[in-house]
Amino acid sequence: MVNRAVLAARSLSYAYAPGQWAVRNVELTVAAGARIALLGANGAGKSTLLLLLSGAEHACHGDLFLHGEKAERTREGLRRWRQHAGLLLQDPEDQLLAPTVEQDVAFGPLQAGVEEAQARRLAEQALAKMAISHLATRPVHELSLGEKKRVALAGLLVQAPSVLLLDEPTAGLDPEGVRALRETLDTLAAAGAAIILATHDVDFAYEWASEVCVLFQGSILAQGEPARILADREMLTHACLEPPLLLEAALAMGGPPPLPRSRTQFRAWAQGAVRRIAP
Amino acid sequence: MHVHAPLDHIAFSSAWRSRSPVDKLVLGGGLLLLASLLPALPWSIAISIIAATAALAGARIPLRAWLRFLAPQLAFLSAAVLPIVLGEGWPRAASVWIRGLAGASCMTLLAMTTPVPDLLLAARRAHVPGVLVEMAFLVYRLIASIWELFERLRLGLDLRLRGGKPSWHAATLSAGNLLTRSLQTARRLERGASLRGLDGFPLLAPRCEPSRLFLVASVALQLVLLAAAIMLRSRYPW
Repeated sequence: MVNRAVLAARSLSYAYAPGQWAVRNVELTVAAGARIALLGANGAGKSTLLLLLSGAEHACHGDLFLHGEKAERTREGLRRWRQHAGLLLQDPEDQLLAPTVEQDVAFGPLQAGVEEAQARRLAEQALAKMAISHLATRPVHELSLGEKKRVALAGLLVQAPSVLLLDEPTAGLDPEGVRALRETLDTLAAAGAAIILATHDVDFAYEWASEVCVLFQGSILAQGEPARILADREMLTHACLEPPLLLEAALAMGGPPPLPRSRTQFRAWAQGAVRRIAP
Repeated sequence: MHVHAPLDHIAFSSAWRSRSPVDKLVLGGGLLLLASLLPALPWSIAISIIAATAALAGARIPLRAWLRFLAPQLAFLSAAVLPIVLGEGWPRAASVWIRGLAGASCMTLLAMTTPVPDLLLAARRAHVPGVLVEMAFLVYRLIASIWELFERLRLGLDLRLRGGKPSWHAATLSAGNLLTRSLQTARRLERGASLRGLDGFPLLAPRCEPSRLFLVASVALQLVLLAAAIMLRSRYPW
């Protein structure tokens, strides 16, 4: 993993109306391969922050840097920005434009001037990566929510962005869908893509993220390593969140660090803890 | 929730979905041309039968769906020929009605086997101005989203009324809600399009290539009809 900042936000602020700050003085540095979870209650500013980071909205104050270069508000600057930072909206319906799945996934490359045969190949690869090749000829409006999410994500992956911004990607997915999504995200992060996702799902964030940011009323309340941040019950309560179940159980059992980060780890860790208590 | 415009769904799931739009345009368009050129009796009846056979046996469109989509067109046609019945009499009205049936059958065959996006891509290849085709694509996408919204609102209203009949007031409120949310949907799609850097509407062409066998068979069938009409001219005058 190359530990170089691909995306940085400095004193980023945004208000939907004068005085109504949706995002306030956010400082964020994202390294290649980073897995960052933005946690917060409804209205905490997670989605707005993602919109700002994707270039879909412009900050009232502050600056954004991509690969060390300051974001420009010109059409060309925006185009370059969007080639590197892809955003998956909370409702995938909003960003599916083409009539069929294959056409929608190939839309990005074709838009970027890639020739049709190559765009088709790239689309096939992205569909295979998301395990939805069987949906290729289906009309997008006939898909389920989970399928739409995967198609929208395939539409992002096909352009190989260096930063992936995902708004509530696990919402509406069944456990199998969440597992498949997690595998895809792990693969992308291992390949060097920085991933920032907004979620309410503290359990998913605890298991998946390398760093969590807790947002409250547009500001970052706490930021850092998941096991440390998510163990702070008082702060989480203030942010209208609950600690992750695995962490809470591990802390209640009072076992030694490192604390388990997944169910598999928890099983082994708990067996060890039980053996220590009752040998 | 799987919701969709019924006609669109039938076109996407028909057995001719993977057939080239050129094939279907040659068959449907050729038959339509013959229906407008040849005497209504007996040729329009023959054309109606051919179109129905192609749809039901070839494209495996369910008979119920075929009749369901043809029926409103025929009702409209029947209303339209009423003045002809009064003015020019039954024979002329029947001739117009039968010709209309043939035309409607040909168009229904095309509509039930060819999804709108395929037709739009064919239009683009036929050099229809790009801006019109792009607008049509976006409108199509928007209609699909609004249709889904409509189905959800209808379900919501039905659940709240527990299957009862909605009052005018409830129906008006729902219509207003649909309008407002349609505008929101349009705005959100606009944002999505902007996020994806919409600049033109490049789309992959469908994988299907025109089938020489199908085209030859379609043209041959149409030529046979034309030849028969010419040979039987004395019996069924033009």
